[in-house]
Amino acid sequence: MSRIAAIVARELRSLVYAPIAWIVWTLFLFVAGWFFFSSVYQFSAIVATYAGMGQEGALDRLNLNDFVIAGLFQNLLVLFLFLVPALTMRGFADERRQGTDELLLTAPVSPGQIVAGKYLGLLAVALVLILAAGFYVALLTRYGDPEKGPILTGLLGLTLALAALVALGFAVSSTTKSPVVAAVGAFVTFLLLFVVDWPAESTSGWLQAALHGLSLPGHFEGFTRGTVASVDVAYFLSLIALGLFTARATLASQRWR
Amino acid sequence: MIAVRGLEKRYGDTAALAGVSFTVPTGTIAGFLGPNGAGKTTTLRILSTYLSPDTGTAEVAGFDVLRRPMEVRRRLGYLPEQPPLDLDHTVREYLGFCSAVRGVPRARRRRAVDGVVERCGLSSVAGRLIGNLSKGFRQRVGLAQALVHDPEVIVLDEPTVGLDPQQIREIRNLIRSLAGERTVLLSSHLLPEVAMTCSRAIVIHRGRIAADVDLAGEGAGASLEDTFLRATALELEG
Repeated sequence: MSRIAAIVARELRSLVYAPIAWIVWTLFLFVAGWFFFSSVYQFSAIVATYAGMGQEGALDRLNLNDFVIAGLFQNLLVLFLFLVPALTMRGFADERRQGTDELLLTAPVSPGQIVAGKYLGLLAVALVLILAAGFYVALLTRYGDPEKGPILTGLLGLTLALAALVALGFAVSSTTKSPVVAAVGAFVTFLLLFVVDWPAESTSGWLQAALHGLSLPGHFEGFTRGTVASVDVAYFLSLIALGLFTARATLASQRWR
Repeated sequence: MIAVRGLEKRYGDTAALAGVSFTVPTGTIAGFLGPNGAGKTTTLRILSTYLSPDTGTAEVAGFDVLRRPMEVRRRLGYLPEQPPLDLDHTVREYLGFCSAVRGVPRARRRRAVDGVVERCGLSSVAGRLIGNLSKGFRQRVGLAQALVHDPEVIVLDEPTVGLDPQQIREIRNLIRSLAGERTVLLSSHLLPEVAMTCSRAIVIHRGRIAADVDLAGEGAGASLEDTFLRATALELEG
């Protein structure tokens, strides 16, 4: 246990000194802030227009959750697509490039412990993004009156999606010794999960079900509308398991070259 | 103790090791000598459990590297060819991590790190980032990393490569001071290096053991040179 803790602490130091963590945090705050500002601004403009036209009925149908929060969460998910590869690209690829893999793989720790430690370190840095997203949304509750439920489920969905993307990005990084290859590989993997259901509408039967079943945004959408479906939770947990298992298997097999 | 029997390792079509056998008894400092590309690093990587052999067995401190790798790792200090340094960490942070991941109990880590910082002459740079250190200091940090958990068996891959004569002498003294109950195997392609530090020279050439010489009995480095040249020349002709 204390060995995993040592690997977590080292990973955190590396990310914060590197300074990849700061770059990812700053870009996220900036772009997420922009998304937030523009959707709130549009919302208030529309409210003002409708109020000016005296359309009280339309105003009732406009609400903060649908217009601002659900959209914001969707946009943040897309932002992860770009930022998570930057966070995970060093993962294990950089250990190989620096030769420090030889230190980890000849220390009395199992591949599973190495993966657990490095993943938890990456996840801790990534979860700061959820805190930042939570901060923006919390601002709304101060000045408006959105429903709390969809906010909380949305944040839960974002957390699960982020944990899944970090696991997959780390898995990709474990297969190469080039961080650039790891970043591109992770980005392409994520992109495929985002677009896999695009042809779904013109298909039918099991193929359509499979394409929908694989789609990451498809499993995320429910969270932004306030529902937590076990199938969606299971989807993200499966991605986490797949990523960590792949990384562990890759490290375990490295000795047998 | 290190015991190696019939190690073979191929990389694709190239045979890196073609049946390597030798033993290093406890308390011995042995030199693993050979020209570049002879199979030194591959052998040491197998001993460290970083690579697996295709055939053959290797035992470190009485444990088989394939069947009991964790027991081997607990007892082994290993300096790879490229020192595995975290360049963006300070010397003290890095050694603290190494001691933790090698299983030094939390209460003893500080003392272990202080001890190895002192022994390896790192006191003046302990708080500096490793990436800002000179090559000589980095090599010493690499050595410190291999010693911090006070291992029974120490395997050093080219510990003095790239150092200036003064630094080489310091490292050599440090390695000699390790003798006692510990077993040390260090590789080098420089004859004088092995002659001055080791009590045993194992010469490897083209993936085979070409000579195994007791330097204490042999006496002078000159005869080692003869042996080395004869052994490698024979292989060249054959």
